[in-house]
Amino acid sequence: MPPEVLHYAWLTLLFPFASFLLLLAMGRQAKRSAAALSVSTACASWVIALLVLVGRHADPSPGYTWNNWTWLKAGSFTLSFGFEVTNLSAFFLLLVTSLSLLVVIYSCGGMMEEERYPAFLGYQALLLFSMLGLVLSPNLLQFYLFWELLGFAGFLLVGFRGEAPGVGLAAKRLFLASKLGDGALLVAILLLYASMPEAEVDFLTLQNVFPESGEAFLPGGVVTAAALLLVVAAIAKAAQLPFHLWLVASDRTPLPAAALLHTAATTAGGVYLLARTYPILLHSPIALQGLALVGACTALFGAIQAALSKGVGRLLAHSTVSQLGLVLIALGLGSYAGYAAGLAHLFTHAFSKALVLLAAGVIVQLAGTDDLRRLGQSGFAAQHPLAARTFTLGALALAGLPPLSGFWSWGAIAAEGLRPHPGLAAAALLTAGLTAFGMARALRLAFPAPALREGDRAGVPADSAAIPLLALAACAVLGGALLLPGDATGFGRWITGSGGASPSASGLALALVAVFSAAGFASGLALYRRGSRASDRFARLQALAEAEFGFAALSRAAAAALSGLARAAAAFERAVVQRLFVLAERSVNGLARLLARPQNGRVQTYGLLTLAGLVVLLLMYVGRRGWHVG
Amino acid sequence: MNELLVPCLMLGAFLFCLGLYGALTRRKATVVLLSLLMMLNGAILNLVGFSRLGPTPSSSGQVFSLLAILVATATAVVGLSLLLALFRNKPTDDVQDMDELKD
Repeated sequence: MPPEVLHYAWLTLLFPFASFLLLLAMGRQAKRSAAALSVSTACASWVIALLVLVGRHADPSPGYTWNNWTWLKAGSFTLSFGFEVTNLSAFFLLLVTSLSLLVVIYSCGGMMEEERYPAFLGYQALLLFSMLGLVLSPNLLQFYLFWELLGFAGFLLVGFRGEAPGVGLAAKRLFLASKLGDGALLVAILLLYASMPEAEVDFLTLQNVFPESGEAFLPGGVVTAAALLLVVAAIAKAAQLPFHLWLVASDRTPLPAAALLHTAATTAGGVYLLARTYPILLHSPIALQGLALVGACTALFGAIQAALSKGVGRLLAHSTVSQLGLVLIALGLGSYAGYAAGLAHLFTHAFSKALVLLAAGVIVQLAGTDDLRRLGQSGFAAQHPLAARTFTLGALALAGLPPLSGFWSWGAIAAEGLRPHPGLAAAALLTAGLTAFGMARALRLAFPAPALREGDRAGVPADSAAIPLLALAACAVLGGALLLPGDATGFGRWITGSGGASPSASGLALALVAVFSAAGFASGLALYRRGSRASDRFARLQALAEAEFGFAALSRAAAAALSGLARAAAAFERAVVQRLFVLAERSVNGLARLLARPQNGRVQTYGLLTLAGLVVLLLMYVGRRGWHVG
Repeated sequence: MNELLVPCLMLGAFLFCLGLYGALTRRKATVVLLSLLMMLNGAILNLVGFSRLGPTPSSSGQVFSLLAILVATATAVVGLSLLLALFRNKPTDDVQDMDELKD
């Protein structure tokens, strides 16, 4: 494939945008044509992304940039838009478009009963558009525009079933969390804009100003502040502590949309920000340490929460939060090898999690309940054996059990952490154990022993869920090939673009991950075997988990503080601002009435005014003559 | 220059001011019209005064004043007929009530 295909990478953006506009214009009844339109546009985007990836693979140059569309011109400053294709963005393009294609195909099934089905597909297209725009942005300002759009599209999707209880709260949480992140990113961009040479904020210049080796060309304080702000923005988007509640509360989002939010779009956007600005982060050890610390805390916390969740939606949301924490640990290690390991984990997790979420979508729809315990009693596994099996497979991959994909990337992260930061590696391993325990518990509760037997109705049901489930299952099994020990595929070298950086998945780390996850899984299976009362033992912990270990109260307190601030602002507005406006209005009115009074239509008044004017003119004339004489 | 010129101009100015005062203050429309003619007469007195008693006496000032009287008469006729037309519309001769101009 000639690298010329890179020049057409922007087409990936065009298709979802056109689809979004058309879908919004469609009526509610046009469900079939809406589905056909979205599948075909998503497919077109995917094909182009695939070609771009192949083109990048053949191209040894660092990237292709087209940056010639002048959007804004102010004095000597020119803001131009365009797109940039690097190995990193080609990787993300393919990841995002493939997940989105599978989710869209899946959405042609059960989601069709939704009343506003075309709008739902349209919001998904908007999400895809904004994520792809984010990935292709050549400079931080364009990045910021798509970043905002990404938050907005997520808000639309989370709030899609707005009439159901709890959905509004989830949408508001997402909105607030993304606004906080947006604020941090904006300040970071302004800081960089103010201090960068010639106010350039495109990624190429950033790479030159923050070289891989040696000092940055900016003052240390600015670097640290910008790096910390970028980290805050990313953890808000990637649903890390203390911003994780937005993802957890979104458990009533339609599951296909949740699959996008969890894997391809919003959360991945946060990780992409870190990956894209990694040169800046590398120059700030504090930011890296903070990132790794937040990641470690979140990974452990999310895994514990997932092991205590009641419903499938919450379980998977907590699991996503935890696994993204793991990605942040890897990025926080501060080496390009860790960076590659983190991105690989994002990749493997994305496919496994999408698989589990879509299978859960089928299962929840069949069983009519989200509760794990009641799912187990409903015996849905017999009705849809494919969904049950793929759910199990995805859960095993998420738990990091060998030889599924999650195991390899987990091993890479642990291996990178082992030598320089044993604490972080320990956190990753502990997370593996806890995650495996939680997954074992979920499987035990949702699939009591009899259902795990050979299904009554073997064979694949012919519905739209089959293709995405099978494709995702294949990826979840084989995705680990990306990171075979010793970087046989060259993924690490390729994605970082530097020769020496490839994750060294050592045998020790792999063995440790295998031991931890197997131990966790086995203990989960043993503890929750049929008829055991294990869940009653954890009743108190479960109650704590329901309250998010105090985070729910914290978020309520924050919300109360914010609304107090809003009330104070409103009172100030009523007392001062509105009165000022009334005063201004009255003074203008009074002046107008005063000036209108002489215009009473009587000739004599007009005559008098004319006389007065004449006298004034005469006086002026005389006065001027008087001055000039002197 | 004749010493009678200044009293003559003073008389003209006095007539003009009297007319102006009347035009701006009287209520009856006919009186206002009369006052306007009085202002005109004050101005004409200036013309006559300068033509007889000014530094370069000539008859052109008197011709001017005759012409002005002619025009003033015609103006008065037009003004009176306007007043009559107004009176048919609205039976009043008080200028304070004639405020249709503001609409």
